[in-house]
Amino acid sequence: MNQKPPVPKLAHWLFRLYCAPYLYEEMHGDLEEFYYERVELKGLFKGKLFYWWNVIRCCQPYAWRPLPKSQISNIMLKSNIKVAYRSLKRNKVHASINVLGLAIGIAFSCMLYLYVSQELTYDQYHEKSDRLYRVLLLDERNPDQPRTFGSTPPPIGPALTEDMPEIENAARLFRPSGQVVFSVDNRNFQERDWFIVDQSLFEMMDFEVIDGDLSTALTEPNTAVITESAAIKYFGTPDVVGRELERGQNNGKITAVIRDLPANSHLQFAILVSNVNSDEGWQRYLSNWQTFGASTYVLLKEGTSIDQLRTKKDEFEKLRFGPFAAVFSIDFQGIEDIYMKSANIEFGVEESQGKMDYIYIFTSMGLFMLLIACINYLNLATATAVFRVREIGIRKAIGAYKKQLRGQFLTESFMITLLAMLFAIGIMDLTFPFFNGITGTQFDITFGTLLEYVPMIAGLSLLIGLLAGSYPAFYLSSFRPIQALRNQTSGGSAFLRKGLVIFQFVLTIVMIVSTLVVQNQLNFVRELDMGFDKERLLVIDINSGNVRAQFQTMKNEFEQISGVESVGVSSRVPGEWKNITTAYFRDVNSDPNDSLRSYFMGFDEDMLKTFKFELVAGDYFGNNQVVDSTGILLNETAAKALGLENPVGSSIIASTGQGKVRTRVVGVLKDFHFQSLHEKVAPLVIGAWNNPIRVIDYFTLKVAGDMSEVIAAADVVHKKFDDRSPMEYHVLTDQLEIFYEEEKKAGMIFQMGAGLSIFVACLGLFALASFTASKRKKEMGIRKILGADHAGLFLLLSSTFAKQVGIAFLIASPLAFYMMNNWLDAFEYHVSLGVGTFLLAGIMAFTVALLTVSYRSIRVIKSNPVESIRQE
Amino acid sequence: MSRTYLGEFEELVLLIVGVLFQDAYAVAITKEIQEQSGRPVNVSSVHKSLYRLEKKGMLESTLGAPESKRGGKRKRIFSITALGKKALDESMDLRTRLRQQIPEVAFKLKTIGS
Repeated sequence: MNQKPPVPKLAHWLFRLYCAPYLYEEMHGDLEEFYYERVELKGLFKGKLFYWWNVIRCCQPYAWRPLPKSQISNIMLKSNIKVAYRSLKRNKVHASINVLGLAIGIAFSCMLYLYVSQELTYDQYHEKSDRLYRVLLLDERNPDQPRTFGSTPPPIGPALTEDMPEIENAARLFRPSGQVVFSVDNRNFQERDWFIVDQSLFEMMDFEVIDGDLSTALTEPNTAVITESAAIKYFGTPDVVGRELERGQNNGKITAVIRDLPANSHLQFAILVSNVNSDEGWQRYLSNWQTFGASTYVLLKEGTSIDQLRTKKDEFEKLRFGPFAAVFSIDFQGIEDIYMKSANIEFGVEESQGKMDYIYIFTSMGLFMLLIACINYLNLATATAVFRVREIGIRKAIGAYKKQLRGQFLTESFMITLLAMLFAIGIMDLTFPFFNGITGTQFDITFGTLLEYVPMIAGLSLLIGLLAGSYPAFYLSSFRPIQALRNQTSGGSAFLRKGLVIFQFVLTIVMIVSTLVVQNQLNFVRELDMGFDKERLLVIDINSGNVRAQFQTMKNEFEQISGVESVGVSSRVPGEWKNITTAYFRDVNSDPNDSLRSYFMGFDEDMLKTFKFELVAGDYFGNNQVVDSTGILLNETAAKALGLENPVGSSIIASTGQGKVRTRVVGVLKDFHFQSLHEKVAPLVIGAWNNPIRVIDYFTLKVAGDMSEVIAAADVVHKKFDDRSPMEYHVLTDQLEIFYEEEKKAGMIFQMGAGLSIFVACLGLFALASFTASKRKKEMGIRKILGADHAGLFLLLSSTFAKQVGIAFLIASPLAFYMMNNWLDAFEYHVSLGVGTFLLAGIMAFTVALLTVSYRSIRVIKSNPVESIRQE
Repeated sequence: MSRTYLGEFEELVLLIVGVLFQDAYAVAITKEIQEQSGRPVNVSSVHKSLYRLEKKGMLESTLGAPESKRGGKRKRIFSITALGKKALDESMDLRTRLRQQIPEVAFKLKTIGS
């Protein structure tokens, strides 16, 4: 028998929930048969969709599990449910508009809620997370530009536990040289996500162990802990405890396998290697106070506060830092804060950072959506009240209490929200793959996760049922029976209804404007002149000493590849802007204390023509190694910051960690964007490739021919010089896109939100319009007989809505302006908010609203006036 | 139940059950209706009619054998009862009788005013 995809579990569960047990077997058999057939004919997604649809369709009284009959209240409830069901069936269009609107609202806001809550709960899964802190190193030499580092000298961890009794434990993580090659049975894997760690890490943080014993995992030299997915990548099986993993000359034994780290962990790794090593150089490094590179975490003793530690840190610095105490100080950062509050921290181990802005934006979007859907319900319920006046009158006349009526209407609203909830779960189940694709998250609905989501979804639905249902319930139950029977009650407060429609459209227009602005900004960023030619640049990393030593030969071979125009070699490239070296520079004649901290890169003589940088003054490097090694280029900003009027030829003193070097300015480059457009162009000093400050790290190939052919040929060259590690490369334009990933993500969510909110708002408008149209049918008929033309009638019917959208536009514009101005401020280079964007959003909202309204209006206008007047 | 009343869709279902003799279960009936009448039908409507007709005594049913294409579940096979046949016959009779009473001329003349 061939393997069949199982039916969607969740829908199946729902089906079991409502279906009467004696019907289950045959009915579900039918549904399954249809499901498998659909899957075979139309694919899995359509099959699932169809199955969900059938489960919901089959939820009808004939199939319901009988309610227990023993109690009176149950009989009431049963009758309420029956009446509500009938009333919903009678008004199918209204009911489905309500259900659909609410379902979309619930689904979208739940998804946003999940996303936001994941962002906000980073690193809270550790049992002791409230006592875990990261040690930060502060450099306040330059008070205007204080720097904060996420990495510290290696001995700081042990010293802290020794000096401060409040600290229970400390652990260090090292990643000595970034990427490393691990091998298994002669197969090489390039790995960046690895750390050398202290065994104490496992006593402080929580990792879910699959196999092995974490309490002793890294106590021996040359042992390693691996995550499940890395084990599968390396060995093809998670069952790897005891197997060998090579790293250079070290043969490591795997002692434990752990579950992959949760998505909301700032620490992400594939392999941990033990820090028990008798290597002399390594031991020296571990006790050296003058190097960096250890990420240090400490665990506070229970009952102590971080402020107690902070009061002692001056003493600690004096004791341990010695002469550097004046320069460096330490601080502590709560582990739960790392994800959201590390924007200015350099050299941290965190892979990504959260932005509070987006948390606010997404939260308000979720609320907006819910509000819009609730307003639909409220408006429709009060508007259709006219048609139910008589029903209410009769019920009251034969003795129904207000309370009972209220119960009746609330039951109705709860039924709608319940139905909407089921739909919402279905929508979420079906759309999670797309949502995950956009946000890079891993949500799905299975039995395990559903249990987590149910309180959220059910709570939300209950709240909506109560919120949206209570006004109509109170309003409808307040009709006086006599007036109601005489049909003297108006259809709810028109004023309130109009206000709510305006409110809905305010929210919708705000979302449309935001979407347009985000899109504009992203396009702007993509097309902005970076100050160099960013197209068709292939960047290849230099990862080994051998490659670095023989780069000249390698460069020549790269140049031989057909399709390569030129090759440049540099320490950093624009776009690969993380951890750019900085150094202090000053004019030889100025005060030694008046140094400029500037970014520094080393370029070779071909970088200019490879990137097409523009030279403003002076010359570029030649290829005279001796002369050029002390020459530097400045960008315009650096030249200005150094206060040089004629920069070319002036002498500049560069101070680095290693000492002072006297350099000579040979030329000035026009400013180009070497960082993301969130940043202003900063001062940049460029030395020759053989400068004493920073070694070279990248080849950049300007490609004229076919990119993939060049990559293949470059790989062959690379193998000749480095047979251990695979060639690491990227295309620069792709790399630049990564700067704006957060914005792109937000843009997609905005689009979704704006699209959905206008859809839901229009659903409501559609229902309201058809209601008004049918209420004024007779009036329209009479007008028509008296000679009104179609256009006039149309104008009459749609003018109210047009006015409402107009007012909404007036309110929404300043609101959107304020919001988007704030958002754009995060970019140093951004589009300005033009009137055009707002007009476009207004016109979009207006057009869609008009189209929505016109469908029903035109039907009424076109209908034969005889029919509408003849009634009664 | 004093008066046996047959809805239009119910009649259709009843007829199809007869047509599919011995293989009349919900999935087959749904497909057959779609095929023969060309109108899109959901299996839930068919279920509803089937159970109601059974309640009215016009259909009876037995459970078939478990099948793998249904996830190992049995299907309920429906067949027409004597009452069902009677209801169908009566409905047919009524229709033919009425149809025959329409004078041919009625189709040729337009009513006044339209």
